[in-house]
Amino acid sequence: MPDIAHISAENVREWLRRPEDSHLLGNEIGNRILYPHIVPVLEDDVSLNLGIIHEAVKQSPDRYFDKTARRILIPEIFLSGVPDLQKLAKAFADALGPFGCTAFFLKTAAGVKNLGTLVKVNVISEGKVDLWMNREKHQVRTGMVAAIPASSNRIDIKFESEIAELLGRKNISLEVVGGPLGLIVDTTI
Amino acid sequence: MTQLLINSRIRVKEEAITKIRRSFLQGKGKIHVEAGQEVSPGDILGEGHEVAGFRTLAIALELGAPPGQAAKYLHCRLGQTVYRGELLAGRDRFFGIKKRIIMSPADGVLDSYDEKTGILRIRSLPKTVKLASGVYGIIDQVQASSGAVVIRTKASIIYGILGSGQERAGLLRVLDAADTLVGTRQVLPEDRGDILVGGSQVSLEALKQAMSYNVAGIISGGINLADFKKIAGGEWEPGKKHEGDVGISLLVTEGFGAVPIGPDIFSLLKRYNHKFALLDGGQARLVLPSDNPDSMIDIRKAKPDEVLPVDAVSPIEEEPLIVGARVRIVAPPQLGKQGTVEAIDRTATLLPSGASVCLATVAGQGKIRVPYLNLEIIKT
Repeated sequence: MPDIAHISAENVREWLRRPEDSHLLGNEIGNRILYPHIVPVLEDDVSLNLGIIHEAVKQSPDRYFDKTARRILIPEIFLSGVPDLQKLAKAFADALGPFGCTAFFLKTAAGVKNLGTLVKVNVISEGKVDLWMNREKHQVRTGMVAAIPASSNRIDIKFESEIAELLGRKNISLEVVGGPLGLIVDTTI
Repeated sequence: MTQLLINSRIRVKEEAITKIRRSFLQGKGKIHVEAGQEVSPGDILGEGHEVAGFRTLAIALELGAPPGQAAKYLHCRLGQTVYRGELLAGRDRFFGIKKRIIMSPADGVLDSYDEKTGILRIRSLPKTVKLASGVYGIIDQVQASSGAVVIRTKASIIYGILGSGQERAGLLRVLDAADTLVGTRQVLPEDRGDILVGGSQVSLEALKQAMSYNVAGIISGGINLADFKKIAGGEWEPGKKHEGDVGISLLVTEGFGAVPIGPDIFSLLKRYNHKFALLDGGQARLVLPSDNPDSMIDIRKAKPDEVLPVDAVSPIEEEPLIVGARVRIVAPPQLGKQGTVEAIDRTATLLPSGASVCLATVAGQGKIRVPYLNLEIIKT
């Protein structure tokens, strides 16, 4: 369970699909603290959980993000609050703001599982970014977040672009982590 | 067959032999009893001096006057000694048809009036206080240095979900039904020293008024998170005992928001209406001692391992969910509703949230299907 006792209800509100009274929202957050194991029933419950997790991660980034190893660890229990792994990873990425290549792992009681890799590109001008994954070419328009399936544990990628940089280079080949999330290419500015 | 494990918690422990701690709320005192001595509710355990403290009265609110103008309705001047029951302030309303008056709740000196908040502060005079047993029991331990006595007694115990404030004793008074909202209208000056049982939610204004009337404690099904933080001293750390005390003890039985007190707890509170109770807000626990003299028979013969300690809490455990289990729902919008598990569908159901989970059918006032993880077993 993340440390959510000190999070701001106002910041959580941004994640909600429907605006909610601040007392009601505060109470809902409080009840998530009292009963952390509850399963979301409606989509709105997931939105609230996403907002709470986003704020909790933002408050204690070092608990989840190893900046040296460029690894984000998602605790497995978070999946009970947000069953959609992609939405969960997006909330982590938004809260932590990583750049370059960052591997996502699921932290379970038994150990860690590969989930995939976030490739955050530094966009210089608008256009399309070329990316080869296991020798297959993919093009991502700038300003987009694209998910490319890649279930194997390790993936070879090659980045080539005149309008963007990855890790400070316009041309680079890397081996990254794959998994259920695959490769998430973020070309937003 | 895979077991579906869920949280399980004791909410009510009826007629247990337990140790309780009786002490002077403020300051120290001299204890007159000895270990092994049997006591009755009226017996005096010791005498002490209540140190001079402050009492606050929200006089602007009471008089229905703006804080900046309420001082002109005072009948006494600042620095003057006033006595309990003495007229402090009065205001005629509606051409004299209605009159609002405020009496002094204690002996003291009018210390200050805050024109921004409308709060009058009375510095109380030191006075002798007698510590009554309040229970049938046997003295287990005398802690002379801290002016406290541990008594073995027979009592029912209610474990809440959260609370704040030190242990206070008083007579229980059930205000209304389990689902009413408690505001300032329900809290009266004559509730001084009592433990009030509210309904689904108690407002911050009602809590402040209760403090100004020197009410010992309030029990409620729910409270707003923001209000709870104010009462608990600004912050709230889940699972931690809140040592902070703002002058009133609070026990919340269900959670945050407007949540009626569960029928298991409310029925017991009604049985103990107008009886002596001990509310430890910090431990979220209410002790309801037996007023039956025959309880001494059970107290005398209780073996040491059968006696609950002074600070007994109700730990959360895991238990397999089974048909027939008594449960309460712990997820909104049905938070706090209770019922019996009638069926368990062990095939996972995909919910609109995207979660795939086994559902249980809970029969209470109606029938409802709930993810099994959104239930808590009511352990007895």
